[in-house]
Amino acid sequence: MAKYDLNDLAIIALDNLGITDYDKKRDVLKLFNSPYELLTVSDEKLAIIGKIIGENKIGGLKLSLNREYIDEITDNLDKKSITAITYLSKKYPALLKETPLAPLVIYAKGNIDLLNSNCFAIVGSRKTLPNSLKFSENIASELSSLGITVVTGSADGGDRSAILGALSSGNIISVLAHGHDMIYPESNRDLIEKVASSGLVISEYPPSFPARSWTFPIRNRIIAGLSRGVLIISGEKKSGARHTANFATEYNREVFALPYSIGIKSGELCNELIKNGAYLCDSVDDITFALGIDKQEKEEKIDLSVEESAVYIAIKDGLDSAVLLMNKTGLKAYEIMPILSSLELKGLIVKLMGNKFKAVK
Amino acid sequence: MLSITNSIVLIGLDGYLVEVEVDLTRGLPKFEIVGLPDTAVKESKERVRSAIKNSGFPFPTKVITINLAPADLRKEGAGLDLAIAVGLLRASVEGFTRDVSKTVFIGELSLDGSVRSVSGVLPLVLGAKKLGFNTVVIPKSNEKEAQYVDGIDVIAVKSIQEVADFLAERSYNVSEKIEYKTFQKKDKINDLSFVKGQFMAKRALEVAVSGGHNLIMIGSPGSGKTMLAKCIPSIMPDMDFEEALETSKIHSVAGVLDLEDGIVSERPFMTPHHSATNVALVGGGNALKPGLISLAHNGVLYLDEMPEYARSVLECLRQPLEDRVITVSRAKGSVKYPANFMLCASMNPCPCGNYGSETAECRCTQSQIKKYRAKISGPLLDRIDIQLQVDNVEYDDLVAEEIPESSQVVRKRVNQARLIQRERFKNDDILVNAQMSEVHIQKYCALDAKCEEIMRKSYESLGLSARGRSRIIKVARTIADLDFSEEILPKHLLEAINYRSMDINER
Repeated sequence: MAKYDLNDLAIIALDNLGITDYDKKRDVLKLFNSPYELLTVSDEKLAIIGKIIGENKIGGLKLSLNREYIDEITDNLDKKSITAITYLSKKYPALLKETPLAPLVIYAKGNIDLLNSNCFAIVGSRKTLPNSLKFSENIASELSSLGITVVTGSADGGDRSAILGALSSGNIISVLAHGHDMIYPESNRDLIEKVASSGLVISEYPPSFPARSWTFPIRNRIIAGLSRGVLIISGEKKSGARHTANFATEYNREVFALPYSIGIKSGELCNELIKNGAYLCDSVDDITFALGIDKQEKEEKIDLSVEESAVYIAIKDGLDSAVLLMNKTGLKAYEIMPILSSLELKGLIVKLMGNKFKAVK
Repeated sequence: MLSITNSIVLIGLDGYLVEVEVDLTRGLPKFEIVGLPDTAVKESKERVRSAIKNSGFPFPTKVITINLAPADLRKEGAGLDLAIAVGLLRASVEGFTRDVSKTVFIGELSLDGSVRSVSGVLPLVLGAKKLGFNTVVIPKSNEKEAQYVDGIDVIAVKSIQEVADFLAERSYNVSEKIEYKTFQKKDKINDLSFVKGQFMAKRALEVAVSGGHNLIMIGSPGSGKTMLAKCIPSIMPDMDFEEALETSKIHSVAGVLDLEDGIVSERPFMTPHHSATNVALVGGGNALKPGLISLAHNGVLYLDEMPEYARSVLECLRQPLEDRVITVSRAKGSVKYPANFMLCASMNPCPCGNYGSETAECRCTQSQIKKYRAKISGPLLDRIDIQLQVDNVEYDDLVAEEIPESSQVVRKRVNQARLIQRERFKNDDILVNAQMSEVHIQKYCALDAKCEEIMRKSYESLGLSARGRSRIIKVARTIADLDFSEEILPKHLLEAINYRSMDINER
């Protein structure tokens, strides 16, 4: 059986025409009973299409409806081990299909079965505090080990931490705001490749489509559309995470947010979301409970020495700087430093800039 | 009439003998200097003529030929003035009977006949001693630095008249020797007891100085990085005479030696501005002078806001950091200067300084931050063992009444740790833990199973990069030395892991 049927090929051809306006592409397809008719389109229909997509694009369209040309596109995708999944395909994620503005084609690289798995999105701003990053990494790791697929973007910060947490289990989808060849930020290329090999990387754009400032917010509709719920790790008042949260509400998905104390810039969005009715999430249980996912209670026992637990408790009480901790515990600098390192290694605390410490468990 | 007078010129820090041959013959009066003199040496004939006349001696109206031998050695500066004048006087005036074959003359002349100070007197005198001379005549204002040199008579003169007295065996004073002792010139402004809070940073300084580790401090603006750095010399062990002499030699050559003190007895603390050029830092230029890294020999080179320096300037530091000497090679020749300094640098977490702060907003883009950090290249960072974060100081720390430990207390511990290291490396040709190579690490830094486990875990959960491993072990060795422990224990290793904050991959 061929990989793509005629309908798929017609949609792929249309999608690779370089039309960025979603509505125009959909309007073109509405002219036909089945998309494959586009391949043998009559001149009268072409004139109507020209009115929709612009006369100057008609020449290009005619050329790209050539079967050889389409084969070239699909060969090229095959070469890059990218699978194009059209909205007519059985592989197309059902949850996403229900949403308005569902992309015509998903270009997927990796384990495409994940598209129809149980998905949950974790997103956050690029400037997320280290303790929140650690938290999101932990959540991503726990959810993915429960068989839930973590959906996120590809940026530094919140997205990256979610990827790092879920990467080892393979239950991870990274949604790009650009084609597969145009990774942004470039420094995350290695990470994205790792995601493609253990999980799945998807994009609604053909491989050579570059990132634009407007592609990021509309990419977020896919993150929200794929998932049953969305956890917002961090975000300033104006942040891309806000779009994800808005789309999630629009699509009737559950929204979770990590609470922040007052005065923390990167947490303003989260607190606002909670104020407006989002779930407050400070442990993975909040998510599993709300989504009705079974979770075996596993008691994690971490061995702590007397001094270690004293310092750990002090940090949990909100004493964050080394000076405060030393005053509280009476330990000297050279005594407290090994303890702090040890707690960090055990994954109980993280170190922030300027020698501040925050508990993450 | 022919006379030969000895003088010395410097190439780098080494003195080379120059014989000043003066010949007077009948003929139309003429004054010629040969033997590869530079401009300053050529001009000396004008100074010598006036100086001799204004001191009341007759200036010979003959054909004067002065040869500076050996002819292939380049002579620079005005330090040969005095030797030329002495040669002329001995050739032309009766009564200068003293045997000067074992005497060296160094000094610049003024038109009125007084002797002016020159740079590099300390290495010149040491060179004279090494070349087998027993007396050296130097300018009075340079007397202090020469007085520290043993085994050679120093005669400090103010004018040609005094030199004449010496030559005529009338009256002259041999300067007394000065016993070396360290003295603190300034009031103790930079002392750890004035640094409030910053306990972790202070501990890191102690570890860094104990093991001779280079150090970089990362912290937001105004957190006290410079103040901490300035305290480093105060906790370093006192310089012994050999060290002081080495450093003073370099300072003398560069002409920055304090003539009042005559010797550098406090460890130097050099802070080049970030607009400094390669040559300013490593040395060179027209006269092949030592650069700031050599002036910081046996002391501290502090680079404030390290990423602001030109990339090429920073990369220049790599070789001297490894070899502890710098060879300045130019068309003129090549000169070796010692450059055994402790590098201390500081930087902000990002260009605006607010990255990672909970309350202040960082306005830098991710790529700006990456670019900023990438200014310090991996190979350079590899040579910096301790990367430490400086606390944001709270107001309460500043007004706390408790007086922190003074530098003197810390220095005692540093001295003990240095003693342990000296004992350990007595057969190894190195002095401190930071200089250990892989061979030494295998020999002296065995890790038990528990420590290995900690190392492995730190790579996994903190994302430490692999090249940090030997750095961590070296620092752990120093921490163990401060703790008087033979073995490296888990707590030492855990503390050392704290000092690798630049290695931790951004997550």
